[in-house]
Amino acid sequence: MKKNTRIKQKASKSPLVLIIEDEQFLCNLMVKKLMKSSLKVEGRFDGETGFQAVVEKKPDIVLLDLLLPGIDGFEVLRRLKQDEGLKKIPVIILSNLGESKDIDRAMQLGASAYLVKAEHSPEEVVGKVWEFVGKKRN
Amino acid sequence: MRIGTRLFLSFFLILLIMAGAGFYMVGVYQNALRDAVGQGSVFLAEDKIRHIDKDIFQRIEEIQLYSNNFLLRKALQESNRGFESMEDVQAHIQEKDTEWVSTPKEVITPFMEELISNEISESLRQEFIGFWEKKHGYRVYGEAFATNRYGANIAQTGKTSDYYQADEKWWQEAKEKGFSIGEMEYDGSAEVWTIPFGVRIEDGEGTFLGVIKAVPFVREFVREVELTTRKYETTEIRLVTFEGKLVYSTHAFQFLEDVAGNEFFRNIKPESGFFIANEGGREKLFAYAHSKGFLDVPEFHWILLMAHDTQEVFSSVHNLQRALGIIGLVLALGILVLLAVLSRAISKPVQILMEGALRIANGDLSVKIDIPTKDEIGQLALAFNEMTERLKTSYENLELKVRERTQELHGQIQELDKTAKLLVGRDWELSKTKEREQDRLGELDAISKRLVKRDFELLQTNELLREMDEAKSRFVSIAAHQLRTPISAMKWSVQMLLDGDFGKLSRQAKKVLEETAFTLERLIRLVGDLLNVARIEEGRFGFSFGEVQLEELCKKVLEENLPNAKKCKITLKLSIPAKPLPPVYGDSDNLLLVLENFLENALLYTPQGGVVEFIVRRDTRNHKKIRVFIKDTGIGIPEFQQGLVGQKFFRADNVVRKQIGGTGLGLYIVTKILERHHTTFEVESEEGEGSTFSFALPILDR
Repeated sequence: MKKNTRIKQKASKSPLVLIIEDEQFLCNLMVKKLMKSSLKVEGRFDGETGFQAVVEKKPDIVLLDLLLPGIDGFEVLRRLKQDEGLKKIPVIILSNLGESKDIDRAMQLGASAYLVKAEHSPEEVVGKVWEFVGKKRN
Repeated sequence: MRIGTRLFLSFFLILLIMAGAGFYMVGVYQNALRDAVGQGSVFLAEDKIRHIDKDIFQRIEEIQLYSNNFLLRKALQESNRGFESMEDVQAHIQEKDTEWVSTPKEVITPFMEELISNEISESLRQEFIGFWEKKHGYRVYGEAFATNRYGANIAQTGKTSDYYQADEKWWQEAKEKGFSIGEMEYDGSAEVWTIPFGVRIEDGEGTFLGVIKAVPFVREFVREVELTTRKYETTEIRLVTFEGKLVYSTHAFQFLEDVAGNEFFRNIKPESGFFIANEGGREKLFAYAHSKGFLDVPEFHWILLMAHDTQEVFSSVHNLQRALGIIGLVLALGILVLLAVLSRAISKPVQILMEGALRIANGDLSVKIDIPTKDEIGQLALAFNEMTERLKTSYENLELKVRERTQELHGQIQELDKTAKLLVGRDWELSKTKEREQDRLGELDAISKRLVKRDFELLQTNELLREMDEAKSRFVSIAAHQLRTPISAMKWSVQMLLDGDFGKLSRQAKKVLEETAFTLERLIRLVGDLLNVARIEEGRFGFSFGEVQLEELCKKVLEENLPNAKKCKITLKLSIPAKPLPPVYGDSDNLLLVLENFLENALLYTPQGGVVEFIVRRDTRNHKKIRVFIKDTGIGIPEFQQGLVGQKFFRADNVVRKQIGGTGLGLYIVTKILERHHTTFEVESEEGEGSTFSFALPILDR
């Protein structure tokens, strides 16, 4: 079982971002980038604990990888969108799968955005995140 | 040929073959019998002649035994001494011999008397005559006498023919060799034929003392033959001398008759054997054996012959032949009778049927055949009658119809005749054409068969190739996916380093990282392209066709790449007609990819300060199509390689030289996508001047 990573909160009012990503190095990079942008971040390395974290922490937004050990990202997304209390949380898919059939499937399941990792810089990801948490605040 | 005759001939042939086989068997049997009897008789003859040889040997042995007699030796030694003391021995002997010979046969002189009645003569008589008379009741020897070493008689069983013996051949031979066997001679006193045997007499030291002569009767040797049991009643046993004189026969014969000229004698060979020869009008089987001598006694000039009348020898064969003949005759007669009955039973009804058929052939349909038998012929007759009946009715109907139709036809024939003449000409032409057509069809058939076979082979090969390609594409797809994660990690790290997220960087470090980022972009593009190619080749590249506004698509691509172009210091242009163009039929997502790839290429191969222009307008060659041009002022493609553009991993020579980043997959993907749109792109290029790529799509019909 992978260890959960907990990052200190910077400011209690900042929105909370949950990253579910099995590649620890990528996860850490993203966490660092998001925290620099004054966001609170929680990281999880697999689908099961990721989903639990959503239930417990009620984050403002979820960054979700698709290829995960245990239950995969599609399944996590499906469960989130079926839960009345959680389905309003926006989910940004951050994956290496770039085929349109994968993209279509994720969007149909209720993803808010779909970013292919290699095609977007961390900066752009952060921008996308702010797009949604900003919307929510307004 | 009539059936009866044929049947008869067949049976006769079989009978003939059987008879032939029978007589052949009999012949074989006869030969075997002849050989068996012949060989058996030869053995018998050999056995008999050996007995005779042994008898001769025994006689000589008997005489030799007697020659050791002490009294005889003593008497001879005395006589020899007496002769030695004489002044002229030869004269003495001559005188005595002359006296002996001149004396008449019946007269016995005192000198003779003295010789005949002396002690030795007594002994000789006792040994050679008295002994046998007492033992058998008959005589074996005719006479016996002894001479001294000068050849003068000293003792004798009866009066000898002369006194002096040394001049005789037998005497000399006995003296030299130890014994002698003389020619047969007639013993006048006993009136029988004898064989004279002479034996040398010597003392214990081997000194020659004289010769003893004893003459056994020929009869004595023949006795052996006389006693032989005869195989057949007609069997005759003969003794013949080597010179062909008949010595003895079990049948009536003349002693010493010359048979050298007879057929049987001429057939005799040096070794024993058998043969068949004619004699006195009868055929006989002769078996014979020669005398061979016994131990040191050489052969005596006699041949023993056995003759069997073949009539008797082969009587069993003749019986068999007779039996076969009778059986054959009876069989032949039986078959003849059977044939007569059979042929009557078969050929008579056939005859009736034939006559009936002939009458029908002559037009008489009232025939009725009566054959009451229930066999095949009887059934044939019934069928025949039925056939006749039907023929009769149909013939009557036919005649009626023929009359009707004849009139109808008459008119038609005249018309037809005219048409026919026309048709004949046409028909000839047609048949010619048909022949040519037939040939052509044959050729086509052969070709199509070959094609079908080739097609099948190609299908198999294709299937194999497709499978291989698919496996390869799957591998590429998985590999590319696996590559993406670490590449993303690198890209993100580099980006964040550049963004200063890990602290401020030196200018040099920043420059290196920028280069790294650029290289990573190329890597990402390569992986993306590889994935696309894999998808295309796996057939997973999704297509959704619909209405596409090409100007819009071009605008979108150009806008998206504006920052990129700025970075490369390249001007982007879009030329479209003032009036909006009609939409085309295509897949907008994939067409976007096509345009992106073209643009990417153009940017890649166009130096700084260059221009890349998108032109969209109606195709000048086909107004129902819209053509998109992507024109650059780049390095161009060497003319000789323009045909290769669009192949997987193809990169023009000059590009390879200039070390420009590019995967060589972009135009391959473009080709594949355009293929699905049933079109392809064209290239016009001049090295150093730039290239223009273009493709056209059909306007959507509404």
